[in-house]
Amino acid sequence: MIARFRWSHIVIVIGAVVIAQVATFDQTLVAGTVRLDLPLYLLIGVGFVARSDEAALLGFVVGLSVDLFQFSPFGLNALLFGIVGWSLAEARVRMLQPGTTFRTFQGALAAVAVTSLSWFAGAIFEQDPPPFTNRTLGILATIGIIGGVLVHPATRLARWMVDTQMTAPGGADGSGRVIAS
Amino acid sequence: MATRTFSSRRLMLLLACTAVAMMTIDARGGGPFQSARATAYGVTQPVRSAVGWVLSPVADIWQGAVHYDDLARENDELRQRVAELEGRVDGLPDVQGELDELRLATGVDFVERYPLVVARVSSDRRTSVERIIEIDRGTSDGIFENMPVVTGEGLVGLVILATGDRAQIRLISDPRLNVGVVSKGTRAIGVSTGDGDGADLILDLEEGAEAVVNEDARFESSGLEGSRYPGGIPVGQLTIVDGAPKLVPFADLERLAFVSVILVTDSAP
Repeated sequence: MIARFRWSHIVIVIGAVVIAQVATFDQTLVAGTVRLDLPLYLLIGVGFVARSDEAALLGFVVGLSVDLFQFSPFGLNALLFGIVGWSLAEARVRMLQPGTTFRTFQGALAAVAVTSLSWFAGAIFEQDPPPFTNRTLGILATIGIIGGVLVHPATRLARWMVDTQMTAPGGADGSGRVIAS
Repeated sequence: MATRTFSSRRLMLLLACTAVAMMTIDARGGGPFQSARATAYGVTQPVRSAVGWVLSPVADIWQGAVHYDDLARENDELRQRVAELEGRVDGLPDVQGELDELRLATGVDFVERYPLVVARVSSDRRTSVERIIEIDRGTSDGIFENMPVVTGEGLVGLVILATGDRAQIRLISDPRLNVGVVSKGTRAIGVSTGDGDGADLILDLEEGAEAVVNEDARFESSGLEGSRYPGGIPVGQLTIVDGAPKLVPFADLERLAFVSVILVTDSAP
């Protein structure tokens, strides 16, 4: 499972993304409501590259790193990110290998879905999600566009973290073949 | 394929169980995770400051892009304000007046038993589940966990993590923070609980107290035995929303620039 992990790259990327998030992007809100969530975009990239077990583990690690800088129950983000990474990777292996346009669309859709999920997680702690209005739709559209754009560098980063050229036992997608890069 | 899928699902289940176990341990308070947080905040503080400074132009561009209309309106208002101030500048005696205003904003006259430390808000973060305020004072200034944080207007929150020269604050609007309160006039007792960022506080009054408390009554911390807050700190003003008592916080939680930490000695280790 971890044979394809490049640990030094993983530490660098996750450290940089989480620090940038805490130092800047948590304080920069879209329309005063939604934040740009770099760790989640990174996770979407991981979900598009790694096997489901790798994505779950990396998501868990990213989530733990986020948990270090939040005061929600320690492990909540690890759980959320682990599930998201696992789900994205599981969904991907059931699809045909997409081109750039399709991947952009997938990234946008994943960003919107994951943002909505994080609002749901917030609601558990009584943080009201934004009221569902035309403005909210605009916010989600913005998040989707950003997700569609960022999925490409996020995927590259994910490939830097996980050696996708190496065929792990069971193949990159579990079918004995390597996923095209 | 079936083996891999089973293995992947089994791993996910294992991770989920681990996460739930960690949440359970963390919910009991203290423990290894609080220490891990303190270490993470402490070790990364210089890096976070540097990254924040380097990325601030990116953040400004982002804010400008998504708030263009607001910025244009603010710009017009600022131009008007500058014109007004330019007209008044000749009559300005000195900077002492502004300094007095700052002292008033941070001047706390309702707590005399304990010393105060004035701190600047260095970061105001919003995550999907909470809002976290960071101040530029920490344990080296005598600030420790569970110390109350106030402005000249009233109670702001509680220190939840303190490191060398930084501390993290949980606001009274956070649903996890309860404050024992008492009405200034009738001495009716209740408990206020946060209802999320930007919302009024939920007020749970003792039985029969609703009948004796006037609308617009002012509530302050009760300071009863076991409370983390000394008595007499203004908390909020009563308002009735859909028949339910709420408190509108006196402190402006949206615009926090300076705060004072009450060095309650019981909180020091």
